[in-house]
Amino acid sequence: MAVPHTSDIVREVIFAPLEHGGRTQVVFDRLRNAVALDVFKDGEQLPPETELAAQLGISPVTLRDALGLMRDAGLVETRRGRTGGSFVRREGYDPVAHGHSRLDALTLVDLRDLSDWRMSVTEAAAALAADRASDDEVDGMEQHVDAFTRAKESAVARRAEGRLVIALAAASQSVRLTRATVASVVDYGPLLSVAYRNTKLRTSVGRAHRSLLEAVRDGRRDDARAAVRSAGLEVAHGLASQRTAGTARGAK
Amino acid sequence: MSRRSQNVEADIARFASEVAIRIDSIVAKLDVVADHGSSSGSEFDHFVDVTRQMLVDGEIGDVLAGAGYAVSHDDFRRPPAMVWWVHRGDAVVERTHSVDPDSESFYDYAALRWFRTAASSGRPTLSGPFIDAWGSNDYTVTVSVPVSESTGPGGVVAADVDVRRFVDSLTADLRRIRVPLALVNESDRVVVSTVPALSTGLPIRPRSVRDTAESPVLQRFPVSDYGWSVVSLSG
Repeated sequence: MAVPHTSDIVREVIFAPLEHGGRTQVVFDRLRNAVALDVFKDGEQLPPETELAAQLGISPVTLRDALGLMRDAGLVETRRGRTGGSFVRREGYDPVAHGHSRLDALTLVDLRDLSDWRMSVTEAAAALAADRASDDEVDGMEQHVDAFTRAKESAVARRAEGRLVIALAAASQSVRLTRATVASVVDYGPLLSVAYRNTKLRTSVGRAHRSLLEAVRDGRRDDARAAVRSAGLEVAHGLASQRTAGTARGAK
Repeated sequence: MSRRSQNVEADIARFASEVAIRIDSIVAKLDVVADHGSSSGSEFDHFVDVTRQMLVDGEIGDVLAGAGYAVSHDDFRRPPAMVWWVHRGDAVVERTHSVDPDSESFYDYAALRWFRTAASSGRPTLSGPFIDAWGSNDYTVTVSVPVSESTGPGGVVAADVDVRRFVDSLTADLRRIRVPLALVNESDRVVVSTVPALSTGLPIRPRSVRDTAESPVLQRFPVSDYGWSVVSLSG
């Protein structure tokens, strides 16, 4: 029996065909996200190169280059010979380093666009959830808000928040919003590992999550939206300043 | 009371009992699976086999979309473990769920009603309709039955109902009764209704007005003791 490791939607997002031919960096990002999200377990062998390339709709050459980047990042190990292949190294994954390299690869406009998309999806989910959530669902969300508030490190906070927004989307009773939210958690997650290293920001976002929860509980849809927006903007601005500071450092 | 309204009441009560019979039949299948622990070998592997067989044996027109088993893990000696089977085309395949609490996509089944309530109440449990994030990522109604802990790790066996087929199959019967009606779950969330604005998954009243506005429910007919009910609505 295969060892269960992840939900189908995460696999779908990860293995969706790439849109514009293949770029090594995009494939590398996908595969790194897959490791970040535990799509593979430690030591798991990746599918044969030709198969994986076909699945992603890219040439084997592009895939080989991307696997080279994965190897350089310490995320896969390649063994030669009859039992050879590429094997995942979970311990090679560093969420903060991943976040920084993702942040450096984004322009400020890309970052704003990604943040706007993430906030819009979550705001829409929050407004609907304020009408439609059951008490049980609100209680479930409260657990994730508590976990976020208690978190002592950025990775833990990021994960709690991912669970909170996906629970919020499920409570909105929209299957499409739930899927979009999962995709946004996958895309934005690495950035949050960087953003939530800032304790002050985390505390302030934690307060916004608490007001979101209370607004949903009381059925105040506009307040729920506003809480999502205030947390999202604060994170986006924090990341934008870090991005600018990173560029300034790099220029020296 | 007029003859007509008495007839309508009888029709609604009959509909409620028809829904209960459908749920009962799924509970009966799960009971068979839950009651027969393995005589030898691993308990978990046994449930892997029997829950798969449950889907394989399904008849045409069967509304079961998936079935599986999850163990109780409220102590440190036993890690969480779960198996889940779904139909894919003509085949029955495993749907994997991450049960490692340290993984990003951890499927925390112990926090979900289908597991939690079945395990704590010791009774057949009906959950949904809910969007099973981290699981099917789609609307789900789950019927679950606890497994006795006397012989092994206990846990819960469960089956997912194909919500769209289930709703379709009830709609025609419901429409035949000519008053506004909804089949709702324990939180007054719609399973199926004759009111176009009340589609599957919506609460019959938004949270913002549920404590202030007058309830739209005129009469309530329980669906056995599953927590669901058929309600007639004003307007």
